Amino acid sequence: MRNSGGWGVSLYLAVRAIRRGNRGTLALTILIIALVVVLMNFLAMIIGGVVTIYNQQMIDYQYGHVSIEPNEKELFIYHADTIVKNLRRVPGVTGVTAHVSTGTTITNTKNGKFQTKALTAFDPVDEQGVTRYQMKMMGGDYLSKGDTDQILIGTLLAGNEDESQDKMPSLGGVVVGDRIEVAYSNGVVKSYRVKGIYETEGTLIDSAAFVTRTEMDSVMHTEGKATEILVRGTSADTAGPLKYTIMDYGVKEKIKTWNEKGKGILGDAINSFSLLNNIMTFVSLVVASVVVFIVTFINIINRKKQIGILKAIGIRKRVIIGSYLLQVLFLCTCGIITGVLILNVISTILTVHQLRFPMGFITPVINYSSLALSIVLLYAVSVISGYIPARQVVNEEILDAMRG
Amino acid sequence: MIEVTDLEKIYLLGKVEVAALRGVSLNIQKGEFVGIMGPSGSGKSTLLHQLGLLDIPSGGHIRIDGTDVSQLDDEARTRFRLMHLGYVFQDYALVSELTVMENVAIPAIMQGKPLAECYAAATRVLEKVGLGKRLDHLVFELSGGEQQRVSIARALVNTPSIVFADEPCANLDTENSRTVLELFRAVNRELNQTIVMVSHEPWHMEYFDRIIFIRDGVMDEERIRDEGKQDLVLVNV
Repeated sequence: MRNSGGWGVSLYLAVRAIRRGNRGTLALTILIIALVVVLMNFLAMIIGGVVTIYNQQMIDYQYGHVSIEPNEKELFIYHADTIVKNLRRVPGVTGVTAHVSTGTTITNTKNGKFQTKALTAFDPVDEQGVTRYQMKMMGGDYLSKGDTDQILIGTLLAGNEDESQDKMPSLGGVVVGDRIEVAYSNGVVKSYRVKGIYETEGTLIDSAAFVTRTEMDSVMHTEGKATEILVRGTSADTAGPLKYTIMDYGVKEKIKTWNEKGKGILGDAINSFSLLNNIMTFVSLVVASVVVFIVTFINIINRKKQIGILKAIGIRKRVIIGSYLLQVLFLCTCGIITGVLILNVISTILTVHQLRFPMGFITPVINYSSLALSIVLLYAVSVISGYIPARQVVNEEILDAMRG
Repeated sequence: MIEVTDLEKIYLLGKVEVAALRGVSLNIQKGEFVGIMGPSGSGKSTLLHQLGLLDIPSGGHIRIDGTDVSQLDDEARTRFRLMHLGYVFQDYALVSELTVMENVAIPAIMQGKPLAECYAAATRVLEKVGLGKRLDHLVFELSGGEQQRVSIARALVNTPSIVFADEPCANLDTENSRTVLELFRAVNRELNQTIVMVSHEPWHMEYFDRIIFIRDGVMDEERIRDEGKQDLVLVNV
């Protein structure tokens, strides 16, 4: 005949131990577990923000949602005009722009400083349907369709007269209206007036330069060709299906989503961050397990005599262990709830007062799947750390335990 | 009720064996109030611990209500203690986080009875020991004598076959000791409750029906109260 008063008695004892135990110890333990939750997820939250801003910059300034590249061993996409026309008919496409890029040397004629850069040409009207440069002008104007004597440059390429303020090699303080010289790969050298300077906060993006297709075609004779075609769809999430729709429409060139394009550039950085995050998670888990172990151990050692009494009057070992495990689960649950609340408060504060990173102001993003994983891990280590000392003391002889 | 044959208990102190009990044999009948007495270190508490299944003997047999309890495993011993035995310890041994009523009710709750029934039983027995008005107090709010009465109530709540008391008056003054002993005698007489109690106070003898004297781990002598008389008669040496 089995005793039916198992978990019920564990719960009965646990509830009373929590209710009538030391409130200070209880609060401190909950706070420590809460901080462990924050520690385990804070870096992931920042990485989430970095990834989000990186992804948005890739979409808005570099690749659109889908980009089309020349096939292997080809320098250009030929018949780009036809492809662009066809792409505009694809359902879900909201904008298409064809780029031609070529290697150039850009020189600031005022001070002689020069930089070797890829100069990209686009149709300013088409470009507005895909990228967001026109919204990031910090000086001057965006390019117009007929511009041939004008150039658009990023703020980092423009740079400062005081070199020490530059984040990367620049032209040493170009301002709107200045003239700069561009030496093309075919030997043509042309002087352009800086029509506008943009700032996106993206390091790679803000060190680029742009002219119109009309201008590039006149110098490099690239009519009807493109080095890449960028396509904008309805949303970042639908880029995958959009890629296959474009393939179905007969585009034979290499087609990549923004995500596939970004993997190479961002992948290594994210991997490094993830490694750091994993180390931090591991350390946090060790801290959590040690804390829970110590708290449970001290708790149990202080009540060793009580455990002996309970055993003596016929309370089963598993009931006593169960009561300690329930206490640990309670502490853990309260700690996790508090931790998630703190994490949300931090996230809200950092959303209002954003952190400035090299790629711009980031908004923290709580990764709920990694948060869920950290919660599961925390429960697991807590239960183990609570179980070991409880079992150790409960297995002692009754009289030894009763002597305390 | 209790049949003990050749009971031995040997402790290991480092590499030295110390025989605390050396072949004790005795019988205790239902409804007896038995005192176990003897000088300090004689083995009286050790004997009680073996009888009460709180320790495992090194040799011999103990049968309680026909069950050879020496053969039970740990789980079965725990269950036997819960279902058949009650305990009163020298230092009250109450759970500090439970109220008076909860302390008394816990063995009944462990038996799987409905909570209301357990609380009703605890209340009844607490009223019997004179603590009916202190049900919701925590144990640290009670005096030593009151705590020991809670401990007695806890021992009685499951109406056990035997109550074992290990020097229950050792921490009490004479007045409280007398209250506890009167309580034991009342329970013994009114409920025909078997009680086995360890004591070293000579004046406690007046409460016992039978006294087993232990010396150096063996039964030294046994005295029994004659029917209706005050004197204890020597029956065995």
